[in-house]
Amino acid sequence: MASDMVRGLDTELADLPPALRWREWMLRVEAVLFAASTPVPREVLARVVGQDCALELLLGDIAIELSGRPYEIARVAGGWQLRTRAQHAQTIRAAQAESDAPRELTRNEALVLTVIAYMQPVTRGAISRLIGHEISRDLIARLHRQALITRGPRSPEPGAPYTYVTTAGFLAFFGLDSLRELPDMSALEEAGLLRSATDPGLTTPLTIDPD
Amino acid sequence: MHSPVAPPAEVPARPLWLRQGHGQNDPENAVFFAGSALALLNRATLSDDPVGSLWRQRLALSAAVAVSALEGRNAGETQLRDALALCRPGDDPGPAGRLLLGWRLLGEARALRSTDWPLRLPAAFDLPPGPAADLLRDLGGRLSGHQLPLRFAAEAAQEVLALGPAHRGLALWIADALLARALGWRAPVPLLAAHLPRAALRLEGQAWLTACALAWGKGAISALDLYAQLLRRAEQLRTASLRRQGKDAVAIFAALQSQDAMAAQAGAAASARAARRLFDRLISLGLVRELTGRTTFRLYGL
Repeated sequence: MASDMVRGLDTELADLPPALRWREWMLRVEAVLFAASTPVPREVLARVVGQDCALELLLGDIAIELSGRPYEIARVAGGWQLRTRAQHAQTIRAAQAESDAPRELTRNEALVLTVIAYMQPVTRGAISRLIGHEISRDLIARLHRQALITRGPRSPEPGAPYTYVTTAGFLAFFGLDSLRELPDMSALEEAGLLRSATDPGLTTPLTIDPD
Repeated sequence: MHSPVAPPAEVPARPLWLRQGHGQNDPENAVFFAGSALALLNRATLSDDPVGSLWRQRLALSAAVAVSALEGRNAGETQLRDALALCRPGDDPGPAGRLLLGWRLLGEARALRSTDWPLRLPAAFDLPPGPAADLLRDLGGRLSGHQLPLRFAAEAAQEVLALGPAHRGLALWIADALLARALGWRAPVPLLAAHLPRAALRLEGQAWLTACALAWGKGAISALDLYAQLLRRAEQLRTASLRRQGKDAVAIFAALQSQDAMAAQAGAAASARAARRLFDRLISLGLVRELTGRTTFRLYGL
């Protein structure tokens, strides 16, 4: 039975009558889908229901339950995902136009943006190494969505990861006319704030000559 | 088919006094030196040989390296090459790539189309478009008339330099472009940036002209050496008899003769692996060099 008790969760629910058991499984699967930001594959859903549970039927029942709601269960990329119905696309776009407008950057985003501005073109891995903790794809994607950064040339290392460079939108956001108006890099280096030489993964920094 | 022994007509022999004329800093000698060296370069600028495009790309690369060092960005040849070679369509080449693209533009005939300058050049040098645009429009409309070509170009560069230290790369670009216009060349040749000492950028008047003349002279002589070298290598490649050279060899050979660097990509008929094998053989025959020193993401060129 140990394999059924994933992290102490009772998946078989043998003590419940069949109808209630089915009901509980539906709620669990819906909860997992609700909490996930990416499509959830079948194997993951199977972890929260009993071994002999017919997942397709279960998902079908959830879909029927959601018929009156603005969101639905969709089969995406080999898994399932809760997503808003297509007819609400315009509504959401209208709402996001508000929130995607220039907003305050978080400290972390500002830090990553600074590193990209000075070190461009630079990969996500190199940014993470410099900052000292993993920079998530989501953060890069947020900056990308706000048109502050864009993809640069591939980096010549295993996997050929993309590098990132700043855009014209970045200059506009900070009120700069060109990249040359960034604060002087050599001054920052002298203050001991940057040591690019210790990190071979970083490209040479963009600096502005003082004279 | 080219004859393997014909000496390239585009590379005339250089008199010894021209070789030795470098160190002289007095204005008259400098201008004479530059004039003679540029005259020798004339044939090469007119040539139709595909190597001409490779030659200008190599000169553009050294100019971009020099300007990058001048600005404290210190992007080396490899970084600048990578910025373009590893860029897929739709990617942004970044500041280094833009700089190299700007200098490559200088080696093309359309660099003489001065109406495009205010639009293209500030972006290539990461400059704010405002202040430079008016001056570029003004400079683009000027003709050398009866002025000494060197003075015409050097003085225009000085005007760009007056906009501030950020405009140094642009000033050197404009100088080469206007020199080509004054000399009636079909396309400019990037000569000045790689040979002008950093300290010369603070000079003015006659001293500035002298420094530019010396740099142009040196630049023309080393450009001529490079041209002779590339012609020789291209000739070797053309006459090489490779057995079973593969399906895309003709296209690859043509590209090698006209491009600075290329990756081993799948061609029209053969795979990337086949291209890599061909490059490996060319390297072992001494016909092609690997330019990056890496074991992966290699770039090849003459």
